[in-house]
Amino acid sequence: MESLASVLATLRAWRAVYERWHPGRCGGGVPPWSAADEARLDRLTATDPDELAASASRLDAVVADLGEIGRAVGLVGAGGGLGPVAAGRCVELATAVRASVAEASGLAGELRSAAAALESLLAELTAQARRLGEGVDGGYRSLALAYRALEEADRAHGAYRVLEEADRAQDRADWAQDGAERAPAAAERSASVAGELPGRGQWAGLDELFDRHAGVFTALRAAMDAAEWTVDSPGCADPPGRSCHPGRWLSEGARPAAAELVVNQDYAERVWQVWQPLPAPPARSEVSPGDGPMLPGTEGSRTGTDTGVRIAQLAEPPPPAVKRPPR
Amino acid sequence: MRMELDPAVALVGAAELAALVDELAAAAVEVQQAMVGSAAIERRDQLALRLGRHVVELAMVVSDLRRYASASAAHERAVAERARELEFQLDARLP
Repeated sequence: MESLASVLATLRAWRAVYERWHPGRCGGGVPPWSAADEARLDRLTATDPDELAASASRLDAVVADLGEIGRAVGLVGAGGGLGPVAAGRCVELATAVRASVAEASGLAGELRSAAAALESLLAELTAQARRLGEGVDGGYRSLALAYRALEEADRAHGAYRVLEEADRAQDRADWAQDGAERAPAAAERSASVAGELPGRGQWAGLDELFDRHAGVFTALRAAMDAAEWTVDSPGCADPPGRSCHPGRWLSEGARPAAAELVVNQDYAERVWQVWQPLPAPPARSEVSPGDGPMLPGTEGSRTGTDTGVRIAQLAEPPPPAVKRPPR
Repeated sequence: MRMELDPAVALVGAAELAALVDELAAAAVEVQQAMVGSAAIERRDQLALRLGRHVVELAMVVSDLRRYASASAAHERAVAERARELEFQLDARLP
């Protein structure tokens, strides 16, 4: 559990970086790891897979005990001397206990599956957090370097804000002084300021890093989906792999990606509100030309071909036999 | 009146079933205390509840068996007592 704590601390540290990074960006998107993700992970890791496995083993023992109890009750009932009513109740009870044995056995299997899913999640967590610590497969940028890049970007951004504010003040003064004569110069100055995007170099580097992090968290989210599916389902009602995809981290000036589709219960309900079944077509009283020959004795063609078709005339039904009334 | 159960056998059966009641109750407690994920809590509780019902049902069978055995024994004693009385009265009337 100590290693788990250090892994969670790593994730928390990176989330702090993402949160500092996020307000400085204008490109939209979501951070690769959020407080909601962390709460979800905390809830899952609060369950110890070893305890679940031990619980499954205890249930196995209960299953064995229940089997013995059911058999013993049945034997007492079948032994005679109790009277038919009591004997019948014993036999019924033995049958009911057998059903409970099956249920307990199923529950034990579910616990074992949940324990395995949690084990898998913890393994994934450790592996992915290590990748974050190593700068995602290659020592590209450590947490400390990311903080330094943030500081530089913040400073550049602050300088930009000061420059921008000074530019606005100059514009106001120019417009107040002699209006349109100074306008072209002011516009030119504004364009030059706007062209100097603050901390572009640092932000682009962090953009790239966080984009790699988003890939790391994709694997972690998949493991969380699987674990929630078996252990703790309130956060994600859909099967693993269908929801909770990470957003893409975008740099300022980059084109925002379309919002990713999350197919969950809410989405399904909204779809069903919009997409209603088509009303049944009204019953047609006459044959339309596109329907082809439908009446016996007519000619036409097969739909989608130039093959001619002639619908055979049905034979006339035999005349009804008339029974002459007796005189 | 004809009793359909042997009081002695019924009492032995009741004793055996009473021991099973205790085991069944222990199993229900074990299930109730099993640690599960939140997705399985309802299933666990339902199972524990079902086992609890088994316990109650079996305990009622034990109770009924003991009651019937007791009633049957009292009935046999009353019949024997009455038989003795009749035998005594018959002996008194005989010359």
